[in-house]
Amino acid sequence: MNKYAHVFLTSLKQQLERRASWIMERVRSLTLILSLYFLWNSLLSDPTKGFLGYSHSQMMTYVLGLALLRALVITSRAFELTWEIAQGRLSHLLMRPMDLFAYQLSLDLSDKAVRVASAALEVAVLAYIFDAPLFVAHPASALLAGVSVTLSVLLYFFIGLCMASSGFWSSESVGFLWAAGLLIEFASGAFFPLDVLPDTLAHALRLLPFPYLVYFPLNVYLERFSDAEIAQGLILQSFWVVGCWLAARWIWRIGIKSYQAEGG
Amino acid sequence: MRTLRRYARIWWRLAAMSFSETWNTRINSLGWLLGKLVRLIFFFIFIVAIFKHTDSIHGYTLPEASLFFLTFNVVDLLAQLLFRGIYGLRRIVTEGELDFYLVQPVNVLFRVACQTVDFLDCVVAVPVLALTAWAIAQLPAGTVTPGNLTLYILLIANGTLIAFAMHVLVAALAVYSQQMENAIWLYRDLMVLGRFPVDIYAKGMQMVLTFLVPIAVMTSFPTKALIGLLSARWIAYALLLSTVSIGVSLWLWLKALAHYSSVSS
Amino acid sequence: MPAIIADALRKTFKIPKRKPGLRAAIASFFHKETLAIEAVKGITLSIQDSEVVGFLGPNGAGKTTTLKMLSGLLYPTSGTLRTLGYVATDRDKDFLKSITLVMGNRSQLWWEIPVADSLLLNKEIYELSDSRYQENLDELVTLLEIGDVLAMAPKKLSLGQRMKAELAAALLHRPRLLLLDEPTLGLDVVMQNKIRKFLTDYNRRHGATILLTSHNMQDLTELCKRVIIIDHGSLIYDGLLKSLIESYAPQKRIRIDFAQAPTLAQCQGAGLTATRDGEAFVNAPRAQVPDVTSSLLGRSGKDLPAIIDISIDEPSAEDVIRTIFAQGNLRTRP
Repeated sequence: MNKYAHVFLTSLKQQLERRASWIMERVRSLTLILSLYFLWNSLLSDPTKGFLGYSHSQMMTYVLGLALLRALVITSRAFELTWEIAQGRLSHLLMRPMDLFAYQLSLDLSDKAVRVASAALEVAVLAYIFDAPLFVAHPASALLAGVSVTLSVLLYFFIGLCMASSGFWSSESVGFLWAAGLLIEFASGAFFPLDVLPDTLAHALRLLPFPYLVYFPLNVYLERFSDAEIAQGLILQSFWVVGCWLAARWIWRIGIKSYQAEGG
Repeated sequence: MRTLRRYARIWWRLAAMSFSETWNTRINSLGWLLGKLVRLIFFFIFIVAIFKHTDSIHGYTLPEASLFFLTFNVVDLLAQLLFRGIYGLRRIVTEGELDFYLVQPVNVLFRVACQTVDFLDCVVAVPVLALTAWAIAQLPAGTVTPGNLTLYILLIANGTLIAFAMHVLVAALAVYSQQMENAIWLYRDLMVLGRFPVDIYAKGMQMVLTFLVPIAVMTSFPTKALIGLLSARWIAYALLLSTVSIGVSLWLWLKALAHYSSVSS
Repeated sequence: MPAIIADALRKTFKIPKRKPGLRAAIASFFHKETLAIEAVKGITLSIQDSEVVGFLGPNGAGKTTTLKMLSGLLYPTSGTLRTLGYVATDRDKDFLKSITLVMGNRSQLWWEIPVADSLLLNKEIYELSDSRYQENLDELVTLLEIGDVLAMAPKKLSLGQRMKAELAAALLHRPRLLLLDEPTLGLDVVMQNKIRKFLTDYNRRHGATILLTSHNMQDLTELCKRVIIIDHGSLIYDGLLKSLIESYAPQKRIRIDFAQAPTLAQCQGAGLTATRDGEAFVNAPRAQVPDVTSSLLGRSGKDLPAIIDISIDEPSAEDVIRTIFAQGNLRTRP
């Protein structure tokens, strides 16, 4: 078996062992979704009126989709690397005949697998219980959204690696990483669609890679973009993926060099 | 009175020690603080921004909706400031620190709850309180009476007491089972439901949040009382709830300690 | 008044017995099967004020359980216990102010901040006045030689320094009863000696009662006149360390250093066992040691080579106790 597949499976088993932290994580995800779901449900209670151009079903689908994308995209174990670096334990990863990024991606994917499965079940149950009006997209839109989500996964993975590399230069970066993570969640639309924000702020955020994590793919699915906008968005998203990948490679090369120089 | 003064001094000592711990890792702490502020500010911007496109959230105006959100923060901050130690229960139980607390002449629950005092939350309290004052000032003239305001503060205190009871309950569970020391984080995750007025939720959920996991009583009741939407009956219920829940949780805590003393090896 | 009186003290733990699997987990929710484990099986003992007593026994013998009952951390299952005249588990404030508990593998100090802060916290907890705090602290700093340690955080201290700081925190309120569980665990020989010397001094100065468990035989031989041996939850010996050795090692070893190596025949004739070139020994019952010695000296230079030196060795406590545990039985109170 491929060694990365093996890493994936081993990590999967390990996660199934950690039931307590799984429950905690699900409750956290569920309460957030419930609070956002009912907030929007209340704001869009009049079915004739939309909100910011979102119809009732579009907004409810955004919230439920956000639950899925949080599990699928905004999940990373890269921050464990920060800890490993700070503890001087990176060497044992570097010494193995494995590509560090591929190894880390296998770990991430196993995390995502468990979370997506859980989140999908929750979303289905919520949608059923509260009879959520779901937006059903044209298969082509769904496909395009799928392409975009794939890119989002890679994009977040590389962003995570860039952030985790901070461990090479400071042992006290965990707090900042948490803050940056929160900021990214807000800027990606993982709490609410960016259209809600004041125009200047929303425009400024669009210049960053973060909206491509959640906001963009969801809006592709909700068919709120023109074909030209989708094409332009996908190109920019690909550009960001490549950019962040290069940045991650570059910064890790420097980091590892300085790590080895210190004999860590 | 002497006991009170003594406990105040011990609390002060613990607070000072927590502070120097925070200060030791000040760069890291600054990061955590920043995160807390980011969360507060973005949610506040979100609420204000919503009102650019609508007049009300479930019939509540901007200052009212802000007050629900801010009051949730006030109760949460008070709990963090006063009972933060419960979040360290894992270390306290598994590393045997509890044994030291038990052989020292200080109330064990007090020691557990106040072992750490979260100073970052003190900093966050500044914008929260400022914004709360701003939101109260924005309410239409005549809404806020001295009576309402007193009731508001009273119900916040009452909410903090219920929060205390929930913390003690979880602590009792953890000490009893010597597992689930992290269960207190569930409380924090559930509390998130109190960010918005409880009225937005489905009826069944409202019942749960009022009677079963009384987050509504802790976070929504004070604001409702302030804007004159809470009947005397509900106020009585809130006071009764805190009394009963504190009684029950303290009783369970003593049970748990007794159990600990018969099983720990 | 004795510091500790225990009569037929027992402790039985109920340990949940559960098969693995979800079904068993659910079943156990309704009906818990438990396994009773008798950690302490009826110990009776009395310890006088100012005594230093060592608790001895193999792992899992019930030493720590007993210590925890004495400190009030554990409820005895049955039996009566008075520690300093109190029912320990009542956690009476005055009682708690008179005892202290030190566990070699645990710490009450705050890991990241200076030791002095932890001491100040204990000042408030034990309600020490400024002057008493200063007086006690000064004494501990001198005895433990920790003047330079106070300003440092435990995480930056060596294990030995940390143990000293731990003792300072535990003794700041000048307790009358010290319960020490493995106080020298993991320390190097030099540090072990310092801790032992400190405890001896402390006991002399303040007449504090000290009870300690230890795996370290030297702790017991140097600190305690009296030892209590527990095995499988039962008390199997309670008495002077000296008499334990006398009754379990009735012989002493006489070692002789000869000017030149004795022949095999010479050795056999005198009942000696040769060890290496020019040295031999003989075991003799205590009472006959003088006779045997003088008889050997009388044969020096005659049918034995000239004797240069004779020494008489007490068998080490460690040897004796090892023998006792190896044999697995012991008469109580010889």
